[in-house]
Amino acid sequence: MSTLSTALPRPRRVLAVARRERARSAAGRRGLSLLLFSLALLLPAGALPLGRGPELPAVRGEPPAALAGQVRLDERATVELRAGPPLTVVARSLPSELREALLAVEPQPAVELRLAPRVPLLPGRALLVALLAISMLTGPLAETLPGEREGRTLEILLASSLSRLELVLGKWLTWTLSASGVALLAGLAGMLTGTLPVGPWLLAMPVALGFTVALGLWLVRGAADLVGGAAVPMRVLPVVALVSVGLSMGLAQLHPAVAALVPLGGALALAGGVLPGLLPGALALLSSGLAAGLLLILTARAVDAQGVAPVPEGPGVLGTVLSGALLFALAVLGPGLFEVAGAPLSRPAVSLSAGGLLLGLSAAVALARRGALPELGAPRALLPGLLAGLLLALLPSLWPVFGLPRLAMVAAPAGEGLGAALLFGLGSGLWLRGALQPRLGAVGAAAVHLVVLLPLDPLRGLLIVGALALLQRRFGLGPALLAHLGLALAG
Amino acid sequence: MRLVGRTVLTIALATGLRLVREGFVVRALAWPGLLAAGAMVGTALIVGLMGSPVDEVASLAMRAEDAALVQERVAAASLELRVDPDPERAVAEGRASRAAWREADPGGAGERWVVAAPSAGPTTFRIEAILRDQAQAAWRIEVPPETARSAVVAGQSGRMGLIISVLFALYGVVMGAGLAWRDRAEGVVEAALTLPVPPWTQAAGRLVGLGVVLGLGQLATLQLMHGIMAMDRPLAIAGNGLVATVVACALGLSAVASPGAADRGFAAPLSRALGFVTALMGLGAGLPAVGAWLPVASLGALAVGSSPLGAPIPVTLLGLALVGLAVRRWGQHQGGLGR
Repeated sequence: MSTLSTALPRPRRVLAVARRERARSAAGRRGLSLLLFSLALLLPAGALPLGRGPELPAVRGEPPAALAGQVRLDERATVELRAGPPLTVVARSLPSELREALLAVEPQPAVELRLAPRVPLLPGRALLVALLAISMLTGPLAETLPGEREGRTLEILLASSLSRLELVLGKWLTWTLSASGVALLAGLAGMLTGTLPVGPWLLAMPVALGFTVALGLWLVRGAADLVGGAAVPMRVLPVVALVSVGLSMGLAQLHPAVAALVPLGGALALAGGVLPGLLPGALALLSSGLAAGLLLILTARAVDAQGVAPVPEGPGVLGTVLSGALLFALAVLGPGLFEVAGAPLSRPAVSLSAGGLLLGLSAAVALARRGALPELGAPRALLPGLLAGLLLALLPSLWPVFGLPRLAMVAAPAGEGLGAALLFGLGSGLWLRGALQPRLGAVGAAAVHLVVLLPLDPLRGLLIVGALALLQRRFGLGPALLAHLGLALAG
Repeated sequence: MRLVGRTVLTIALATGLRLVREGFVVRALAWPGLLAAGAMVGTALIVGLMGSPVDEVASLAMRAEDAALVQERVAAASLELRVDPDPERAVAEGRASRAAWREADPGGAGERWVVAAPSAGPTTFRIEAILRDQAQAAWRIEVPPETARSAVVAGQSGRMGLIISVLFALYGVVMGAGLAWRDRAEGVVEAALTLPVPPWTQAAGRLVGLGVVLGLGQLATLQLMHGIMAMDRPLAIAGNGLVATVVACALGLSAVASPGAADRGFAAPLSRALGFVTALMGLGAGLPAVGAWLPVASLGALAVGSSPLGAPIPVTLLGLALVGLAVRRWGQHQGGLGR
């Protein structure tokens, strides 16, 4: 079976698959509907003039009469003008539009800036058209392999004499040609209205879309049905497109040839007109083209290896819980890291409530996926929980507890701590006692509690996590949650 | 009425449970938060380990006679002064990061200062401030001390929140359309039509369940962003974002439940709904004066800084009206089975 996919694809068979794919997608009114909507979105993006005209630079303070009609007043502006003479500009940097406006105050600049020539950072219109075309591919990609799988036609195709690569190539060809055709039509309309000049985008756009379709096919190779097949590209494709083009534009400041090596990003940057020169252009087309070929071979192998690719399972209870812990750590550690980086940004109390909310939600998802709630405990068992909560609440004042939540709460501005503490107590309680303990047992849950929430104070933390785990085991979830709330409030 | 309410709640609960048991839904919910928070924390780590480029000690090459005029101010601005007979060449050969010199003003009789720099960043701006004072220029620069939280960061964090809201609105379209598609493909819609409740209750229940799951995920992600970077206008972003997500769910559901939708496949209605939502956001960004008052479009308007007072009321009411229309449409066309 594997020899079929590694053999060279036969063009006639590839074209036959492409024709079948086109016939499937164009059946009934669906093909026309998709085409019309793609054109309705892309043609204005390519052909109509964008933007709301030049906007006046925003300033606050007292602009002089000479700047009347050249600037607009906005209390949130980062530049403040103080009346002079001389006029004082209070700012940490100056937008170029404002610098031009200030020529009214000083027609012959006393200081001239000569800046090193840089690769332009603002991409052209063709990039917008290419990104919009990429966003329109979500639905069609879901119809390719997942659609065949849902309709049970993939098995028939796999049983035929078609190789896997021919199957994948045929589907890729259909959607690359369709997307490129619509995008180029929008580009040509832009050339007619004068919004787009003739340029390397004519080559770069089909290559970028070809890579995107190849990536999309690889992403949906394991999707069981149309809905799963639509969700993955929608989540991943815009991120990959934006990150790769951002990376490429950043690298272009080092050297355009380096930027061209980023698959997809290089081609999109070339389409946007930010990669000057013949070598970067050729490298951009080559890197995306080769990467697309590799993705197509990988997709064919994924289909080839197991016939129908296995449906990837969703994250298990443990995965869900661990991703909650990661999000919690990001929320609590994030602001601290910005402090370390020398750019304090945020308010720790908010991060604690975010951490609590994320832990609570990940616990709720884990419980819903498992379909069973731990025993809440009898109402009379709430008393031990209340007592344990009070005892644990008193403990920090006798024996201070340190840990990530404690650190965050200490740094919290007055008045914001109570709500955040309640949210954190409830979220962490649900996560540890509701989701984690039934899965990992009392010892495992206590260990995770210690490592994730109280890493800075393991000795004293041991007493707390042990008490809470035992409380849950002996009396159920309700008393343990009460104790968690008490502990969080005391912090 | 009681039966209708109970049906809606039961379907909402079942929809919510079904969604969180789907691996792709859970991954979709966690993805924006993990990606955005990971990127921000990664940036902070890199800046923390490598040092901020703003903190670098920049070197300024000047001729001896020019340096004598400004050396005290240059030292006070934490810039390293390098005396060089040819400052421009010093920059070209990498012996200094910036250079400044005086030359005859081509447009007048006097002299002017010239600054050669790789970019117009904060360091170049500080040098310009010193030279403007020295030249007694018509306008001078005062560089304020860096605050704990710059306006640039506030704007960027707000933009991050908007991107997350846009992503959740697009999720809403796909999941709304996906729910309707799956239920029709699996025969659930036919079975539900036999129940002694109006058909619209099926759409209402699904939208409530989907809205709650996506809304909670969106709020948690925005709260995470807010926790890390303290977003600008968090209430406006969360409010407009939630309305946009719920409306997008309704549009997705409605696209697949239109008359004769069963013959039209999944991709075309889905692309149409996605295109419509994207176009609405584009309308908001392009015409913020109008878009700020419309659901979904208000996200685009927020992105260009427009959030007029009182707009949340019509945005919410119009959003509810659109959800009502989608529910009615489902009822009329029996989830796309009817004509």
